[in-house]
Amino acid sequence: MADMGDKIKIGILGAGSVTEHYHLPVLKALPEVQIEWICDHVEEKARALAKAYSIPRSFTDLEQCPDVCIALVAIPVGYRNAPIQHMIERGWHILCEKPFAMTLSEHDRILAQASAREVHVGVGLMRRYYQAHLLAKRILQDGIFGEVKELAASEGMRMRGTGRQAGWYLSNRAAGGGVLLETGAHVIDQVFNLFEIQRFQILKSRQHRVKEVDFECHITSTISISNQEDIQFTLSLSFLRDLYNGILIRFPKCTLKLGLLPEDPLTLCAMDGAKLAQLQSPGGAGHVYQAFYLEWEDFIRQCSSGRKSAIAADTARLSTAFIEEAYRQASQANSNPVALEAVRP
Amino acid sequence: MSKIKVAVSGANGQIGSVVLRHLAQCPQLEAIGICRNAVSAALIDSIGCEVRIGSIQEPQSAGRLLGDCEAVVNCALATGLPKESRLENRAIIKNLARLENCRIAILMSSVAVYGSCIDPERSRFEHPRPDTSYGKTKLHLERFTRRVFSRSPARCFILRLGHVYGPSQWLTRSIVELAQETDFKLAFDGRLLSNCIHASNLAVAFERLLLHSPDPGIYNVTDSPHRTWREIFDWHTGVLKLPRVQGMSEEESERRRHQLFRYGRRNLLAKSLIEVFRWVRSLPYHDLANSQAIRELGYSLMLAAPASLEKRFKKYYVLHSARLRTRLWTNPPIKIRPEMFCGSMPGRYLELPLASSALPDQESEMNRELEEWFRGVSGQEMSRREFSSSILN
Repeated sequence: MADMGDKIKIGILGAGSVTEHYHLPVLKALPEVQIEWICDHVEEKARALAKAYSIPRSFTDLEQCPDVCIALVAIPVGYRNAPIQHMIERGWHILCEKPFAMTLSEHDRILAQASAREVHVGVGLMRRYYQAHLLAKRILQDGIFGEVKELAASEGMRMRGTGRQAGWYLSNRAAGGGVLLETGAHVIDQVFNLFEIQRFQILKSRQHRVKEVDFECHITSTISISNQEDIQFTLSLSFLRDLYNGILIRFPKCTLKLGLLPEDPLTLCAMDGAKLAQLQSPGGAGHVYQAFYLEWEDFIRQCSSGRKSAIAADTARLSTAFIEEAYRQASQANSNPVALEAVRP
Repeated sequence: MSKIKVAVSGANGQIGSVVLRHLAQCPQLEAIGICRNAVSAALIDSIGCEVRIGSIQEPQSAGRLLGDCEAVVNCALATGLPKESRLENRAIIKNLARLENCRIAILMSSVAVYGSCIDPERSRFEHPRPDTSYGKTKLHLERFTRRVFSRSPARCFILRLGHVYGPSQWLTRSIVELAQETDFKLAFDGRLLSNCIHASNLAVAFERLLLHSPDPGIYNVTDSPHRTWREIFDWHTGVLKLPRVQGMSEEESERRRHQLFRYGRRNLLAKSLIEVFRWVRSLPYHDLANSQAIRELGYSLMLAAPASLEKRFKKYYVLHSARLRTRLWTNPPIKIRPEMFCGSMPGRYLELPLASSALPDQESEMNRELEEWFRGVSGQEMSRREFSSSILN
């Protein structure tokens, strides 16, 4: 592993849109960071981004890449096993785009291997830095509105004008395609991070699939948090329809609405739904670039000081387990014609 | 009688998906959806018609995808960087014109070619004057299309679509937002014709065009009969049980329309200067006034000035502060939507018998779809949502 001297050397695996539009602009704004290389199996993509962002070198083979302090993994989750193993063996700290893993065993295996080599691993769960999320978390921790009665979350937008060509990873379940993994990873993590959940139980998981890829899902579950009884949690995700994008937290006498964008405020509503106030706090990210910036800053600090960041990969284990279990139950339901018929009118 | 094979490009889009769904149900047509990737194709899987995956920007790929089709409805529009997307859109049009078996090509333009607020003195059917980049792009593509198709045997129809509304359409989202805002008022109390068309009616228009085939050329397309803004708003608020939108007075509406027309008649440089001036006026001058150096300067000047001037300044300062702070209540900002201040599109309309020519009544499919969409996006029934059968069908 390269020494974390004056400049922190970063390598990037994956020249896709999240790298181009978010990570690179933010990394370029961090004066203590030096991007050493970018690697992608498509040579033109790697070269084009390297040229656009003045990155000295581009590669198509990870094994040829020189040592760095931190490697960003921004390739579909289904293709990450071998690259991550290689990075751990070389002692590079890893910041991995979400979702971290497709199964809990895979998640734990990576953590165990990284721990054995004293490699730090983080997950790109930048919503944890959003202003409204941090404020809601504080409100819940302090029990300001009392016990939570019910929790619901949904995120969905009819996909249109994707701008992508054939071979897009989202069309391949093995690569990590599917609304639950792609979209659900963020919103599930937000909920789990807000409440510091200890346990969950999925009661019902239904998916609409086309060629094994889920385009809509609905999950009913209960979650256990300390100092109160279990809460019902319902989640809806969709690529097919427009849904309400947010998290609703119902208390005995009011509701908190948490939007999913960094600029969304936290809204306090009365029992009849009337908006009473928009709550804002000075801390946290109010823009997506700020969220990525805070994520990088926090992870770099973890790698240099050893102090765990807000996005340490072990804090996302339960989310991975939840998604895995939801897929498992949905597969059982989808493959059981009786269960499917029961849902039709 | 054999069916007419019609391809719908951009089949996953806001309009393309509605059009494809409708055409697929027409017994005289064999509808084929064209999408760029498998995800887009999966999104329209439930329609049940053939879907072909590929890019119509490349000539060979376009030939493979569309070569056997007798008609093409182009709902695809490349967006992104201006020059890049212009070249992509031109490539699509060229490829469509080269199709040997294609007899009918329908390409979509927009009411935006006439400008945001249609000025009858400036913007005409033969010579529209767009004032937005979207409108200019559409007009450019219209002219390019006419040039390219002049050498093609296919009958080419360019449809200037009115504002499309319906579930998930941008206008419906806008109307729902505006209806829930206290500072919005409907220009002329909504009596002006809206240039709107429901997405389902648009799909019906395409079907009729394919089956009845009038003279090729450019047509405006709206609901028939042409609805007013009040009818459009009242339909939304009535179905969704939202408060009825207030109307703006005739005098206020005229004054604002006059301002919009005056602004629209200026050239781009003048408009840019106006925007700069507006920005300067909006700067928080009280922040400057409260800065240490400026306060020190003001204090020094006051000491040097005669006593009468000092008192006059104090009075002016107090009056100005009060006026500034209360301006929010006396002159609340009003949301202006330019398209609601003008009349109908000039020129030729597509006069085809449309299926839904009456206002949607409470039991109609349009109402149900709108309600269902709104329930989803508003989060009204989030915690009690059950997996609806429409997903599985």
